[in-house]
Amino acid sequence: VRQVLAVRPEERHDTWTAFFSLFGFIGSLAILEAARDALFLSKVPAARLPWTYIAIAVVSLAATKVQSGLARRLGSRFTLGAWTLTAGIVTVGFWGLLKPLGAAGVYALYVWSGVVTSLVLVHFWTLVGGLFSLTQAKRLYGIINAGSVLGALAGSGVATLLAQLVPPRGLLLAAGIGLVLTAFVPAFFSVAGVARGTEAEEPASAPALADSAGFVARQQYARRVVGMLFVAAACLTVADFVFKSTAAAFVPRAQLARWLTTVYFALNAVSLVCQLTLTRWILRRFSVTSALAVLPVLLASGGLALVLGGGLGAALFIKGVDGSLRYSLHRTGSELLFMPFGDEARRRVRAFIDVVGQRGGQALASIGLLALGAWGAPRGVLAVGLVLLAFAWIGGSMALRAPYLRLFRSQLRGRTHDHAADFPALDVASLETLVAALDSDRNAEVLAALDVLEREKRAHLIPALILYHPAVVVVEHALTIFTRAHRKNVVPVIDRLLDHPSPRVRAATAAARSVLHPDAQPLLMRMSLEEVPEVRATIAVNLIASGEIFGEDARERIQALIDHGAPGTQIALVEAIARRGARGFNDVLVKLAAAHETDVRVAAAWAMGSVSDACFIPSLVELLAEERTRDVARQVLVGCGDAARDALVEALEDGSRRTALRWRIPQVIALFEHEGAAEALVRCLARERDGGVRFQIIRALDALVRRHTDLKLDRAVLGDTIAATVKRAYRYLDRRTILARGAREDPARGTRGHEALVRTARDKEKNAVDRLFRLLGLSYPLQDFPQIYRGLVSRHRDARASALELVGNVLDEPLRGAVVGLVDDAPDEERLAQAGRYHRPIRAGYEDLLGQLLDSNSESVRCVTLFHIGELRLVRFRERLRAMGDAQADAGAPSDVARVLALLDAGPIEATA
Amino acid sequence: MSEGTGLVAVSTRDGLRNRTLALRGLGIFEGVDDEGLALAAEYATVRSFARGEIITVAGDPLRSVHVVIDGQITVTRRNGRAIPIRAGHGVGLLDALANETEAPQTVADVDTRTLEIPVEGLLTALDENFTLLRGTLRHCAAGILRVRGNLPARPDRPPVVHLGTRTVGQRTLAEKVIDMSAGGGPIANANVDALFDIARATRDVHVEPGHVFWRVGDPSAFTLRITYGRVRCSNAEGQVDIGSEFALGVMDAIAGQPHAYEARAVTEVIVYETEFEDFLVALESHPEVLTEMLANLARALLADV
Repeated sequence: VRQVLAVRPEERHDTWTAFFSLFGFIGSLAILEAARDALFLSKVPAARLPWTYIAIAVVSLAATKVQSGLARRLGSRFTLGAWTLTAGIVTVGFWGLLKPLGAAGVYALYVWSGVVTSLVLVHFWTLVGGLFSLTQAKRLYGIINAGSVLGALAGSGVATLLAQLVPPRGLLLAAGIGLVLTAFVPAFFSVAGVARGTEAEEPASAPALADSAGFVARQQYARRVVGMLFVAAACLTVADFVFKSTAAAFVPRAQLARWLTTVYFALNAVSLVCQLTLTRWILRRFSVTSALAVLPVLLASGGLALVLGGGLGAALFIKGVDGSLRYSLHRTGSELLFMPFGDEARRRVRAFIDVVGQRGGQALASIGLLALGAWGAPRGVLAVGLVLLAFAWIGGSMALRAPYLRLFRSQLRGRTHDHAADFPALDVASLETLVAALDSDRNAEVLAALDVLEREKRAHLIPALILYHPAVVVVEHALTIFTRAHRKNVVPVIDRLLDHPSPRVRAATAAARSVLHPDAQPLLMRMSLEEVPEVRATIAVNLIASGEIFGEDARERIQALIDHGAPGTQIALVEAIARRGARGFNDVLVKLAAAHETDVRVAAAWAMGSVSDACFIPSLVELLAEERTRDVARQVLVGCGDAARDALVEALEDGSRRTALRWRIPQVIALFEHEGAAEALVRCLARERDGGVRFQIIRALDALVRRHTDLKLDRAVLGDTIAATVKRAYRYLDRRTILARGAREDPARGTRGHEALVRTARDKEKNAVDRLFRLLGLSYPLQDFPQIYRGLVSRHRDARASALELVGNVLDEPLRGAVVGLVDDAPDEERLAQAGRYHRPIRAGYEDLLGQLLDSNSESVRCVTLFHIGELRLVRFRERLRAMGDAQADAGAPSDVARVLALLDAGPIEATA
Repeated sequence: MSEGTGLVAVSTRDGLRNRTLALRGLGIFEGVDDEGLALAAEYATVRSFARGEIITVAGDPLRSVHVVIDGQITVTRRNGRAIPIRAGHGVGLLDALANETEAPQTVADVDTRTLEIPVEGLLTALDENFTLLRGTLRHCAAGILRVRGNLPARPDRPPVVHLGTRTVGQRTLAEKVIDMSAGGGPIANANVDALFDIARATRDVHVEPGHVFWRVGDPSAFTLRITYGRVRCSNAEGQVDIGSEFALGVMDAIAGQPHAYEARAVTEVIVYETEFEDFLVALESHPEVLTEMLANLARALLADV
């Protein structure tokens, strides 16, 4: 029932068409095979079976060519229908011609049934593979394959009944009619879906076998898939031979038809149970590659039992395992192996596997069986061969895991890009580009080039003539850089700027000159002539710094600038301090870092960087809270080294500090020495109670790990945080489910507050999932979880499916199931069921849940809950609300508690209305 | 995607610095820190197009954006309007930000060099670097202001004015959040936690008719969300009235520009007033809200051009 519910409305049409196509085909095939085996084993020695296997392989090879040509001409749906119709007509033909054909007819029938199975099923799965993504396939293949198993059960049931009434040949007519009727089902596949599948699977020219072989040879994963399925086909051929030869040896010929149909019916019944229960569970619980190892493990056990003398019982076990799991778990798992391929690759690999993997495996096994038969080997040797092949199959399945995941990663990676780690060393070509950029007619480009040259310690390459640039901002910037770089050779050019029309340039010139060529006279003369306060302030500061103005006079001048100076003058003051890196003005900078005007604070922060003193650290930390001052404060703090980092960690750990400030701190800590920074951040992560600050710590750690891929974080702390985050996400999912159910039960609850509460829960869950993937990225740095998360939220169906598959394969239980449940697109109730130990279902009704939400740590949850309680006039909470007190009043806003209490006291809704 | 046969610069690490430099000089990347520029540059490739060369064909899948380094490109929109794009501006950027899947028609008017950035790369870089996101927001907001004549809405397409419901007294935190999430506005669909963070920094303001919220040239220090009343916004280019559930001053503040219009209360007005710095701080902790806001701005800008 759950599988049926998992089918989305838009998937129903194609899913059920696929289901009934398989049901009809496999049902008819089961009747055909029962007749075939009974006819063959009663007329021909079992030792001849390998010849038929080889013949099937050879004929299939030729038929594949016809198949691809037909598919191009008719399209997917009609090719499938045409093959099925042909299968039906030919089978009816066998019914009519079997007697005249004699033993040759029995051989031909055997080969025909094998070929038609291969052609129809390969075409069917190719078509279905193009219709669904991997995630859909995992959900839907179970139910589609149930059609196969149900068909086999129905077919063998019909065969069992008919075997009581008619001779085995009569079953052929029933099988033929079944196939003819089934031929019309594929016409019901949706046109859009098939068009997508056709586009994906059937290009203008089908690939030649040699091309496909070349592709498989180059692709490691494709090689391993082919290898594994080759061994699987060989192993299943041997298993089939073991069963049939044992049955022929133990069961009297006259009873063979009835015995076989009964056995097949029982096996199909078991297979149906497996399909409906075991397959889905195994595929969800284990990786695809592990799931594929289940059948060979059981076959190996049966083979060992046979070696130890198990006889017909062991053979029945082998056939039972084969019959139960081949068309359920093995078929579903094998189809999933094709999903990591792109459309074109999938087509090539499937074509190659059909011919070489499937039929080649059968042919090789048949040759081996013939050789053993010729040698007269006892059944024990055959059983040993079966065991060896089963072990090779297990090994092949396990060897698929690594390339399987690699292929999914590369699919995701194809949509994104790798990051370069660092800049390369500055080469001559880049230098030429930078110097050429100084001639640009765009100021931004010139400023950028100046910045890069200074940062790369190439300021000596900046030509002095840049000071004649028409833009004030460029001249000012160049002066600052020349001053910092102590470029004394620019002084002659600087002197010409003392009469520049821009006061900013004159101020910058005065400052630069006083540093590069300390001579007080020109400055004193300039100050006597200068009228603009900003320039005078600059000159005064430089004269004070150089000792020309000192004592009380100096102090008074500075104090006057701080107390009464216009913002422009104060900026000039701090810039002057900065340009000459003047000591002795620390208290001035600290005061101006708290100035009312943002521009003054920014300038003060820059100046602190130039002067560089530990006493600035507290001011700089405070400046991180503001966007305009943050960047410069961050740069200066990083330049202060460990003392600044310790101060930042202390501020981060201090819960009494402004939250807006604490949010900014983790990103800055991440800029310090990486190991120390990571250790401090992880320590804070474990203790932090504020969700917003935790999020910023995670982001900062994320940036650190991205920059330093060898960084090792404390896995225990991360594990605890991951577990807590998963629990939080499920808690909100559960709450939202209860709220939604409550509103369905009583529509009067569907108010604005209800909607806000549901939205709050959804947003909280979304936040938790986002953080969870960031944390997983920290805990599993090699798995690139950020990329997986981007795939999960991508608009592309296949990217999402690949991402989900990677999550399922990278994590271990119980975390895997829980994480998949959070990002799966299944209904909420089904997702909740995947929480495992991370969530105990909330046993609460609607109003009880509201009561629980009042105790939430989240203020937003509490506030919206209060609002909703007020809307619904739930007086049962009145006393509780009174007891809650009035904790909100501090912000100046009225309290939600008080507002709701007033509403509750006013009486029921009718009364207040 | 790009049909150009022009020289495609090899996207090596050696070219990274040059591309970063090229980005740094472009107006659209103003204010973006080094890390953000490097991130964008990693995804970028320098491309050259000859005069008359088609860069993207209308209706083709939108796979990359082009930022013009030098030269000029003309973009032809679905409505037939041709827009010249000069150095420092992007082609296909708005479409990508608005989650459009089809490219517009773009042709190089003269020999042109562009930085081509794959859409997925751009969106990833925006997700990873706040200053890049902030810079792009700033650029889009400035664009919105330009096309609206520096007013909160286009005078030739004035919004319908609803006075709203007059409330008495201060609103509680939950009431503010529920009000903010009602109707439209740039943050209506924001994460509830983000709305609470904004609401905490918000105060109710009741003003009488004639009150001037700001004048032309005043710094954009705060934003308003009108819950009741009518506000007239005017400048030399025209005037427009707005009413309840409308946010005022957000674009100016995001664009980092002083107010370009006067906002005056026509009736009694009740607003939620938020310091822009607090508004930004709240949103910075919820990058997905800013990303969604950016998409809305891009859609609005596309609709206006």
